[in-house]
Amino acid sequence: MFLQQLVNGLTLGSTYSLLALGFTLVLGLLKMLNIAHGDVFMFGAFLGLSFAMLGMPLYLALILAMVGAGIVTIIIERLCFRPLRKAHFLMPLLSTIAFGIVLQNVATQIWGSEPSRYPQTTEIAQFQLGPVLVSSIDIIILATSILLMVGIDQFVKRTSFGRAMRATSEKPQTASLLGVNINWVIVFTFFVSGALAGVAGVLTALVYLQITPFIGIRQGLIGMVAMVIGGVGNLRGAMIGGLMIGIIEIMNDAYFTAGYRDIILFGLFLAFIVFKPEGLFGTKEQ
Amino acid sequence: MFEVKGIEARYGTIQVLKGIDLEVRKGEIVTLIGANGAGKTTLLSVISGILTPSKGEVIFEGENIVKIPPHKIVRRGICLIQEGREVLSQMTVLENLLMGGFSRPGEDLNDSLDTVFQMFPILQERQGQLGKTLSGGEQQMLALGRALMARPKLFMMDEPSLGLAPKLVNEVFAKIMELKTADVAILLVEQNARKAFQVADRGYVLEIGKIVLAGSGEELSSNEKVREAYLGGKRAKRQDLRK
Repeated sequence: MFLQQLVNGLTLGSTYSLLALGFTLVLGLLKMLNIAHGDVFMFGAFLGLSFAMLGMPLYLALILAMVGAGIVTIIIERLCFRPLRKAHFLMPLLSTIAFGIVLQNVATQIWGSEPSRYPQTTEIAQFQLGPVLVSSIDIIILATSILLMVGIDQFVKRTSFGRAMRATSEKPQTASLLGVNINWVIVFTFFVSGALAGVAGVLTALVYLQITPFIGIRQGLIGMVAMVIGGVGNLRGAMIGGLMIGIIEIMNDAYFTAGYRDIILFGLFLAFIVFKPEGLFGTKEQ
Repeated sequence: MFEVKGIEARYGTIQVLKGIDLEVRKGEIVTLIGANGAGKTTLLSVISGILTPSKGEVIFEGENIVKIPPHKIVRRGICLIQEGREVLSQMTVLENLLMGGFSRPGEDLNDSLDTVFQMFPILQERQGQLGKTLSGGEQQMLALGRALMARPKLFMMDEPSLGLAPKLVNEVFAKIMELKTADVAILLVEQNARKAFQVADRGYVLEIGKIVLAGSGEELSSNEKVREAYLGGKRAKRQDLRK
């Protein structure tokens, strides 16, 4: 029973990790907070739904939803951040809140406000591993998440462009004097952030099998919780934070009452912000 | 090869540069001296593309580069070492050096790395350390090495001696002399005029946005006015003290 819940928690948590990773890429590297991130997640889930309805195989729907969500996030950068770079730091916060609401309503217009059923995209197989029952969906979610997280971590750590991203994060002007096109780094980072939210959206929808235009709000906030617990700007912290929250959520539902779920999670969020704002893995200076 | 013609620049309503003409030829070290607030850093910002001038031209290899963004100017071969070195503190020494080669995409950087390590053995020793763990002198060496990685045709250095102990200042200037080759031009901005004139072939004196004197290193260092211009009168002196 416990092992089974642990697997469930890891599966759910890995989708939170993807969200938190997208948050922390933009906030940690670019010092920009995109409140519409959760709504990009929702939009990605719907895009995946539409592509799957067209009869596309899951992997293709997933990739296209990623690209679509990434493009939406580039639009967010263009509309909500770039024109406001010299404005008060709260302005992009407000502009992204507005964009999130627009996105929810666009989704409502396209897909309706009633829950949409997610089509059966793959044959679900169940594997009995000792006491644990794992479905093919769990495996797809875990494998996709781990692949993306390791890929991005290594990309930022080891590649030339990843170094340029970190240089831009620390000293934008110096980075540009070294030959880095700052705007391109920002657009790329936003795209990756949105693509991760899009993947997370499709993967989450695969678990719950139905989605509404309003699922982005809680998911976005949960992504933020995971990011704060892991330490803002710390990629690995965001991943671990997401997994932790997934496990806490599932364990709470299994051994306690589901009604207390968000009290516990957001209570934890508050506790971290007040008492340990640098998170588990962040550095004090942040 | 490199020429600044009638550059004027302003920050908001304050005109900082009031028509600057300056030239640097291949194989030369040219120094630009002046007190705090004379506009030295502003001129370097204009040349490197950070600041767009309100008037004038910057001609590099026969082309006006005034409206080109900084990341493209580096690619053409102009490299600025900023005041305060601006080492990337969260990145290792090696990563800092590799970032120096970012303006040469697709090229093999190993040769350049070897050259830098030969010139600055300390950087090879410390290559795995984070930038922030280096001392001031080591950071200046890293800044020089990082610039070298870009294989620039024109080096610009903004106060490389700033905040360094005298012994380290000598070391830094020795390295600057080593950088001087037939194909490279160096524009050295300094407050330490005495040191600057020791290495420079020619020099300019900048005073409140204007070039007031120009000449060879020897001419300038024997000029009565230079000391006065370099100190910039009482007001600048007070500013110096504040710093």
